[in-house]
Order: sequence, then C-alpha cells, then structure tokens
Amino acid sequence: MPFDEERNLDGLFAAYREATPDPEPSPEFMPGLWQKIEARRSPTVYWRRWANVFVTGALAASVLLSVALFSLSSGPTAGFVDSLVEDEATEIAFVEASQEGPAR
Amino acid sequence: MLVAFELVQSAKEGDASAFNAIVSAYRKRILGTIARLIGRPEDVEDVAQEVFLRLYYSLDQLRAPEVFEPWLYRLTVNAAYDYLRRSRRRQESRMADLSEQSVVMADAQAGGKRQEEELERTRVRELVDELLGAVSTEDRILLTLKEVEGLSLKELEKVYGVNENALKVRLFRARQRVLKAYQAGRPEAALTSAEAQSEG
Repeated sequence: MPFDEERNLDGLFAAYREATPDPEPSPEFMPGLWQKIEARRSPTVYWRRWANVFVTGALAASVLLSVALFSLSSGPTAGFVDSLVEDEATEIAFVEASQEGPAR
Repeated sequence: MLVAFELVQSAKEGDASAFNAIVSAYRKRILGTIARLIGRPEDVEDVAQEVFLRLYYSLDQLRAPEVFEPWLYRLTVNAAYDYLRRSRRRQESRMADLSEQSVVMADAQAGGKRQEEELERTRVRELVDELLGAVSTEDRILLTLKEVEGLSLKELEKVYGVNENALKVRLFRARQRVLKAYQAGRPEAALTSAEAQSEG
C-alpha cells in the first residue's frame, strides 16, 4: 500500500539518521584546512597582484588614448569652423560686389 | 546560531582566530551533514575542509551575519554536490569499496550483539545509499536535507533561495522517485529491520 511505503520510507530515513552519527574531526582537520587555505592563497595573491598591474596599465592607457583622441578631434573642428567663417566672408563679399555692380 | 554575530563579523574582517572559532563550532555538525549527504566516510573530512575553505574565501561576500547559517549550508550543499557529481564518474571504484565493506561485515558477523547492531547500521546505510544513488544528485541532496537532517521548509527556502511552494513540488517529486526505486528493488528484510530500529 502507498501509505505503508511512505511510512516505511520515513522509518528508513530516521534509521539512517541514527546509523550515521556526526563523526569526530581528526586532529589533522585544522592544520589540513589551513594548509589548503595557504595553498590557495599563494596563486590568488600572485594573480591579484598581476590583475592590479594590468588594471592600472589599462586605465593609464585609456586616459592617454582619450587625451590623444580629444586633441585630434578638436583640431579638425576648429579648422572646419574657420573655413566656414572664411567661406561666409567670401560669399558676403561676392553678394555685396554683385549688388554694387549694376548701380554703377 | 552556534556563534555570536560579532565573531562572524570579525572573521569577515580577516580575523583568523575568529575564523578558527567558527570552524571549531560548526565542524562536527558539517561533518555529520556531509557524512549523510555523500555516504562515504573516508571522504567526509576532505569535503568538510572544502566547505570551510570556500567559506574562508567567500566570507567577504556575506551580506549580513544573520544569514551565516543558510550560507554555510549552501556551501555544504555545493561541495557535496560537486563531490557526488565527481564520484558518479568513479562508480567502478565505489563498487570495489562496497565489496570490501562486505568483507568487513562478514568478519563482524563472528562477534556479539554490539557487532550485530553495527552490522544492522551498515545495512541501513547501504540501503539508503543505494536508494539515494538511484535518483539524481539534486534529489539526493534535497531529500537528505529535509528527511534526514530535518531542515524545515523555511530553512531550505533560505539555503536554496527558492520559495516554499517550489520546494514542496521538488520534494514531492524527489520522494516519488525514491519510492519508485524503493518499490523496484528493496530487500524486504532490510526495510523491516530499519523500521524496527527507528521505532525502538
């Protein structure tokens, strides 16, 4: 019967709990744990140091690159504005000359 | 909580003696939980060390000391899960160990009542291990935490980070799968004696 089987399973789990008490840790537990912590720490510290160097380098490079890009982009913009002003002045002079022409 | 919140906070800030105190307070409980989760006594200590190792390197991610215990349980579940996944790939060596255990059991049969009881416990352990081995690693861990460790649904909710209803569904399905394995090939005698042991 399903109900009996459910009950049997509960009983079996309870028996399993009793049959497997919490084991006592061995005397090597703590030294072994710290050994593992230290073993993992060494490569971690090494890689973290290299990661820091890499991040600092990348940051410096990106700052330099931004400065370079900014100085490059500001040049042509000024030239363009200047040429526009120059063109406008030429155009005005031409209009003025053409307007003055037929009057004379 | 087996330790004060302040101790967890100190360990989080890098205090090694506080970390040692936490390990000392929890190691026996964690060893027991792992023993029941993985069912392999010879590897229990190794997996428990892995749990505390992960704890050491993840303590800085702990949001509040109040959630320390579910956090530790989650690390335990993850380490047991990784171990079980690995050991499923080493099924053959497990069979060799089982036959070795049978030799030990046969030797024990020559002894008195105490040895008989030990033999019975070994039989229960093997039976449950066999049943839980018939379902997925996820089902095995969830059922062990609920049915053997006795964690409440509220506690499981914090460990798994899913809501109670989802857990109920998962538990029901896991239980059904174990029951199916149980019906398929359980030895009657072992079950009867397991019941008698749990009642007595």
